[in-house]
Amino acid sequence: MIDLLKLLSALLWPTFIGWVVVSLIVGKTKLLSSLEKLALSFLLGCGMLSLLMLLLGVCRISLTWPNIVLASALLLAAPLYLAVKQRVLTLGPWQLAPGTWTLTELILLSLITLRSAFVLFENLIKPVIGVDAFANWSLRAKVFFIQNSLVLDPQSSFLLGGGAKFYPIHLPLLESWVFSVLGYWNDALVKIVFFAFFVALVTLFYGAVRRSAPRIVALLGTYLLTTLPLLVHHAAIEYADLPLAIYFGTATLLLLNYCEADDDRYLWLSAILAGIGAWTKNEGFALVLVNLLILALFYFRSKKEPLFALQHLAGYFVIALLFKAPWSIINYVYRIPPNEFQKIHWEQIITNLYRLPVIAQYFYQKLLFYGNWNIAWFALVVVVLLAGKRLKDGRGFYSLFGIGLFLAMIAFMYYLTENYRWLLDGTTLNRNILLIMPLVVYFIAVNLPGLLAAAPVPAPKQPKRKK
Amino acid sequence: LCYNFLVKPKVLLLLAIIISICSPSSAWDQINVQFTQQPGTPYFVGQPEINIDAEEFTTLVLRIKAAQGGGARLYWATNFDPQMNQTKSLAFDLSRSNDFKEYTFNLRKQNGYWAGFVGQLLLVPENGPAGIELGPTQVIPGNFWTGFKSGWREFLVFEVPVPRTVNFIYGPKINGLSVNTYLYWLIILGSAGIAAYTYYKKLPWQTAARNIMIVTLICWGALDLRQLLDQGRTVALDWQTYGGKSLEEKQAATCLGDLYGFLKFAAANIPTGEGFNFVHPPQYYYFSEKANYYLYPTHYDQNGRYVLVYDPNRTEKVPSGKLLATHKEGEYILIK
Repeated sequence: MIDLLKLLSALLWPTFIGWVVVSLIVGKTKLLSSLEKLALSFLLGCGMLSLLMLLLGVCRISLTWPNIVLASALLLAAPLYLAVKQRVLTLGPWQLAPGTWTLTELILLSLITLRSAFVLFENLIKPVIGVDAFANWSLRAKVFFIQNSLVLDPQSSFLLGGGAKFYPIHLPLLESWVFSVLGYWNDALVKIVFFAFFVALVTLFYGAVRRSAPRIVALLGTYLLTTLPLLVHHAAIEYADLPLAIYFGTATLLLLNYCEADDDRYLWLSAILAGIGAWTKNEGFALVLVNLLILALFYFRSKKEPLFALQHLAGYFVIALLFKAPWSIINYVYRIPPNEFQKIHWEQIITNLYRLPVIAQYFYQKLLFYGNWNIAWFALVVVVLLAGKRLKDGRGFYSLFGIGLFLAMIAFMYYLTENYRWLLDGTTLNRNILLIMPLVVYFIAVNLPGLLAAAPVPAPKQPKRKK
Repeated sequence: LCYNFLVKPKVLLLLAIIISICSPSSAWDQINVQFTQQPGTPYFVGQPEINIDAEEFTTLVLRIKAAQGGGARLYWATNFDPQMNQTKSLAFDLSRSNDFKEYTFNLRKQNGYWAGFVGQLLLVPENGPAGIELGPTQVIPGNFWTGFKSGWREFLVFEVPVPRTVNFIYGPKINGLSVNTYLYWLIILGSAGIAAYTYYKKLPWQTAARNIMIVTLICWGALDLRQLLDQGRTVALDWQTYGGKSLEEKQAATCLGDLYGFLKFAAANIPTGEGFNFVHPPQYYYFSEKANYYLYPTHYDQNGRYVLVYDPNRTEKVPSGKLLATHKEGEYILIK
């Protein structure tokens, strides 16, 4: 029981940090529902707390929970004061649109709850099982917890926690925070974090679809998201792929809100989440580029003033960079060698032409004929074919552009980097595709209202009067 | 109408011919396999040099009575590859039954290595041969009905989550083809039908688009029900493996064999924080990483003072050193 309370505290503290920041950004507007605000607060708070732990570690301050709480309270004091003074520290409306629930809606809600229960069970019933978790993610969490530090001795094989040192330590630090609050190392209970990530994704996804679709479609879309087998599997293991997918996915969804509502607050929230994504995994920084290109296209199509567009694009990039920069500086100072597999070989641009058909074939096979994504990719094609002209603008257009851009980006990665070998042995393609899946389902969901609407009934023909 | 159709002798004759074509093969079109189980062996083996032409005889019909359920794997040797190995094998679930239960497999479709001439069959029940009885087993050319039965069984096979699952999930198959393929064809043909109907009835195209989308969503939901089945089985399996256990017991359950017990033994015998080298058979992936993870701050170091040897079958070359402590045969610690 005490452990349960400790676990709850371990989740609530970052959520509180995030809540203060989100409240300050959102202000008194009803931009987000209460549940969305909570989910967003959790995601933001986790990123900020782990970044704070990184800074404490660099300053050689012991990473114990009283130190972390004290440091975050000190840093939070000013924003908290501002938020209280401005009276923005609220949760917001509890429902985006109240009303009675139909049977179909209740069934969909039950199915989503069932999946969430499955994720919770799978996380808590077993300890760490993922091979990369043993070698990297969870190992580093244990090292940080036991040493109460980042291990900054360059001679130590456990420098920065050991493992694959070039990977950012957002997730290991977050896990070591949970161990600190628990007071002991328990690699089964710590997985509550992954359940919380999954719930945050589901909540924010529902809210995003709900903005442009009736409740039943938003529930249907959310249910479809929870039917993706590989996504659900990743929600119950200790890898960083799903947290990155959540940060990137929600950042993009908020960006799409911005494109439609033209409210800067969505943009800055999106930039922060994209930055935390870059602090979760190195690939995250390339995903910031995807969002920047979506934003650039939006400004181009909406004929915004170039100066305005440049300011906002630069602002987005700088905010995202702020979250990535500390880790990059530490990598530079401690001369952490980069991941050789991610080095781009421009000199092979011609000689690698043979890879193109192989990459295309792997995309075709893994996306459509494996059990990873149900029939989501086929449904995407169906929606594109059926929606036709409706895709010319709005959320549908920009999300489809983002999906295309993402696919092109990972195809490029396999074409010009040594990651190609991980494509051939089936290791990474689907884990990369996982990053874009929330957006794929979102694209399908936001097009559903138009596609499922009944055809207008033609007016009955008037009988011609005889002259 | 039904009555007239059935009582007409010519129609009855035609039906009889169709049924005989579709029915499991006649006596002259089947090869009988006799499985035997030698005492002390964990498997059932078929008679040697049976020489089944895999091109013609595509389907295996097993009859099994099992006192308890569990997994099983069927292996075969061919003239191309006379060894029994995982590549030429098929995993399936055994159901608990008091009578002989029929298991039909279209091996040609489910595994491309059912090819050439098959010399021998081998059946390995996961929980050992105790309580399992094999009835008459035939290899037959197969027909629509056996194809259906085999496909249905394959569709329901549980894809147990393994470490590789983090990279990809195969998904359910029917006769060797991904279920997705069938669903795509269903949607495509359904869409063509809907489009034709819409055109013929001069209905608005919006209605056709709506119906096509509904068909797609129904297929999506149907495949999800199948996925839910596997998730339910995963819950049952994990509850069986980890339910009601302490954290240490759970951690032990994630390790193969007696690795966790040996690591605990090592933790008690090596001073905390020391480095150790780890010798184990190379096919035991990630043993060093697990040792590093569980023993930290005692840690893996190739030049470490201590050498952990986990080699139950004693196949590995062990570096020289003084024996510090022995856990079990083939599991010991050396000090340099």
